[in-house]
Amino acid sequence: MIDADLFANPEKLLELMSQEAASAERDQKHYREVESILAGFLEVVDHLERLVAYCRDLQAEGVDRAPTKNVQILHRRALQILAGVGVVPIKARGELLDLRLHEVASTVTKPSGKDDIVLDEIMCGYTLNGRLLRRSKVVVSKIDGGDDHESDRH
Amino acid sequence: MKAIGIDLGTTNSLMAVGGGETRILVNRENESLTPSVVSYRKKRKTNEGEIVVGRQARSYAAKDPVNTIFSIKRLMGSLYGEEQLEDIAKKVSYRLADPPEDSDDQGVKVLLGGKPYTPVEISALILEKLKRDAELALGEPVTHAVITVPAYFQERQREATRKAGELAGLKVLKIIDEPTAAAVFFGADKEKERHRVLVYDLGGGTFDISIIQMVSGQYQVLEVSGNTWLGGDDFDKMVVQRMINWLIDEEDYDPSKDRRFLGVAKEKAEELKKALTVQDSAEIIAPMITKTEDGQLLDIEMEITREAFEEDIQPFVDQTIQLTEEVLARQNLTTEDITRVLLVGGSTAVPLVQNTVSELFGAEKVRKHVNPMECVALGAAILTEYYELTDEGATDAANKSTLMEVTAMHLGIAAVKGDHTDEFVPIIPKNTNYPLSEPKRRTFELAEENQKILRVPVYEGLNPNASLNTLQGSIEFPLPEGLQATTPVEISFNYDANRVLTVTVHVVGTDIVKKERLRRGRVVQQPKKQESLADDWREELQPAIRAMQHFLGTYGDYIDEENRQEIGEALALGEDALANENRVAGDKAVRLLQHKLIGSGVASQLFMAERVMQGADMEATRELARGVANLRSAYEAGDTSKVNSLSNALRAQVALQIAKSSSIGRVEDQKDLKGYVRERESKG
Repeated sequence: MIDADLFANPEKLLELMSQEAASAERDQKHYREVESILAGFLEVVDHLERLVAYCRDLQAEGVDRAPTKNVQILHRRALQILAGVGVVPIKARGELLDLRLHEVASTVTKPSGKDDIVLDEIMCGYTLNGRLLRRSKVVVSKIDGGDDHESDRH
Repeated sequence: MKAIGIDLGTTNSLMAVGGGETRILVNRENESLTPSVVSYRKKRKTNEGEIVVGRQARSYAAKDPVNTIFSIKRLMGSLYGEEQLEDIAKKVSYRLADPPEDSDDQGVKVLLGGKPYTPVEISALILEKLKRDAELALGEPVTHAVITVPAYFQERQREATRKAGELAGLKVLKIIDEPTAAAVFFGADKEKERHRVLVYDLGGGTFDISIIQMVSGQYQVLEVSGNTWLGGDDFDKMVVQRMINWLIDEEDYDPSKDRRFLGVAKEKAEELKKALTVQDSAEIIAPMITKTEDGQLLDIEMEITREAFEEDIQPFVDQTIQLTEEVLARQNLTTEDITRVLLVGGSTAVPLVQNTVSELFGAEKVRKHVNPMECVALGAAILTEYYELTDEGATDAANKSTLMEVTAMHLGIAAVKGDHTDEFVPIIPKNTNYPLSEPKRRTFELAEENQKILRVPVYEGLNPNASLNTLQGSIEFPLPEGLQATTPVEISFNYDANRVLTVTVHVVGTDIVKKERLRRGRVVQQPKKQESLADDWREELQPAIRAMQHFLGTYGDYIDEENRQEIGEALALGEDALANENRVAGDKAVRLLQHKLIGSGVASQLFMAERVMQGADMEATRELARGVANLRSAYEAGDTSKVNSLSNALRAQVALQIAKSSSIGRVEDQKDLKGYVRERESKG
C-alpha cells in the first residue's frame, strides 16, 4: 500500500529528515530561551516563598500587620500563571530521593528509620510539560550507620 | 563504528561529533555539560552499592561528600609522596586510600564506597557515561575517541588519560592538548592559510597559553605555559567582596560567614559579569540574600559599573598578559609575529580581557567568534575525521591535517657524571617539536670496567636530579664479560605523534641493540550528499495520502493533538486538490503530508524504524527492534525525557539505515573518496 511512498526514494527521505532535524533544532533553541525566561521568573517565585515563611515568622512573633495573606495570594497567583503554561512543581517532601528530580542540599542524620527520604525542600523544583525544568533542592534523611561502607573507611 | 571528541574537564566534560556536521552532543539529561563527578550510593531496597556519574552524582554530593569524587583530573598520574598531593587532599571531601607498603605501584587511589579506585578508573567511569550518552544521542555504537588534556599535563598524566579511555571501552585515537584542539576548530575551514596562532585560554580556574604554528592545515605547537590557579573565579570573588562591603556599609552587617549568602552571591556575580559584557553598568538585585542574627532579612540592591569591575580585575588580567609576554620572549617572538589570537574559555567574554589582548596584538588578529566553551570538544571531534576507524584501532588516514606538538618537559635518562650518580641527561629537550623526523641520539659510555648489567632509566622532567623527575620506564639487560669502561653506548629516543617513546640502546662495537617502546596509539572521513526530485503531482499525492492514512491507523496512539490536527488539515487539502484538480494545492499537500509523516514525534520515529527494518540486515534489525520497544515502553510509561532521548536515538539509527540503503546510488561520491586516499599515498 505504501510502496510508492517516500521509502522508494531514500535520498529524498534523507533530505526531508534533515529538514526535520533542523526544525527540531530550532524548537530546541526556542525551548532553551523559554527555559531561561522561566528560570528568572522562578527565582521571583522562590523569593515569594521565602517571604511567605518570613511573614509567618513575624506573625508567630506577634506582629499583627504582617502581610502574610497578601504574599500567599501573590505566590499562589504566580504558581497559577506558571501552571497555565505547563510549569508544575515537583513533589518532593516525603518522597524517596530521586536523583533525576532532586538535588541533595543537606542531610539530617537519624538513628533509625528510612534512608534517603526527602524531609524538607530548600528550593522547589519544576517540570515544564513533563520535562525537567529545575531540580528540587532537598534535605534528606541519613540513617546513622546506614552506610555500611563508611565503616570500611580509614 | 563512530568516533567522538571528548573534552574531559576538571569540573565538567563535553562531547562532540565530527564528520561533516561537527556539533556538541547532549547527554541523557539533555545537557551539554556533564559534571566530571562520580558518587557511590547504596540502594535502599537491595542494600547494594551503585555508582552514579555526572549530574546525578553532583546532586548526591551533599548527602555523602566522602563518597563523591570531584576534580579527579587533578589526581591523574599522581603518586604517593608528591608534594602537590597534600594540597589536593586538603581541598577535597573524599579520602585517599593509604599508600601500599610493599608495592612498586605508588599510584594514588581514592576511596569510593570503601573500595580503592585509581584516578584512571574514576575517569573511565566518566568517559563510560559520555560514551553511553553519545550512543544514545547518535543511535549507534561509539567506539573511538580523541580526548583532550591540559597542555601542562605530563606524559604520565596523558598516558593515564589514554588508559581511562581504553578502560571505558574506547579506542583512543589521540590524546591532544586542549589549546591545540581549539586551534584545530579555529583552523578547520582555513586549511590553505598560514598562521602563527596564540591560544589565550582563560577558564574558571585556570589560564593556559600556547603558540601554535599552522601551515596548510598542519599544526605545530611551539610553546605552552600557564597558571593553574588563575581564572574567572577570581573575577567573581571580587564582585562578591563588593557585595559584602555594600552590606557592611548599608546594613552594618557582615555576611561573609553565611554559606547560603556566598552561594547566591557567586551566582549573582556570574550574572553581573555576563551583563557587563554588553552594558556599561549593571544592577545586582538580590532580595532576602541573608538574614541577620536577630532574624531580619536583608536585600542587596546595588549598581556596579563596568569601570569599577575592570578596576577590580585588572591585576588578574595583567598577570595573564605578563605570562603571554614571557611566552613570546621565550620563543624570540614579538606580537607582530602572531597572526591570529584565539580566545578560549568562558572568561574571555569579559570586555577588559578582549580589549587588553586586542591592544597587545591588534584587534584585527583577535578571534572572538569561536564558541569559547565548546571549541575544545569541537576541535577534538574534527580530529576524529583524520583517522580511518578499524576494529583494532584506527589507521592514520589522511595526512590531511597533521599535528606537530611540542614536548612540555625534557625526556632523558639517569646517568653518572663525576661522582654524581643521579644526573638527569636530557635527550629530547623541552619544547622539541614532535613527531620527530629522526631519532635524537646521544653517546654515553659504560660507567665501570667489566660492567655486568646495563640499566637505562628513562625520566621526564626538568630537575637536574633524575630521581626527582618522573620515571617513564627502564631498560635493563646483562652485558657480556670483559667490556671496557670506555665502551661507547649510543642511546637514541624517537617520539612519535602518539607520544610513543621508542628507546634504543646500542652498545657500540657489539651486536647488542635493545629497543623498547615506552608508550603507544592511533584513526575518518565520510562525505555524503543528497538530492531531491519532483514528478507528476498526482503520482506523488495519492501515495502520500494512502501512506498517511496507514500511518494514522497504525500509530495514531502515539500522535499528539497538535500533530493530529495538522495531519487532518493536510489530508483535507490533498483530497480537495484531487477533487478540484488543483496542482498548487496538491504540491503543498504532498509537502505537508511528507513532513508530517516524518515529523510527528514518536509516531514518526516508530513508523520509520519499522519501515526501514524491512530492508535491514539481522543485526541492524535487532538494534532497531530494541529501539522501537524501548521507545514504546518509555512513551507508555509517560517518561518524557526518556522518550525524547530514545526518540532522537531511533531517528539517528533510522537515518543511518536509510543512508546505507541509498549508498548504491552514490558511486560518484565514492570516486571522490578514492581521489582523497590516492593523494595520501603520493605523499607517503
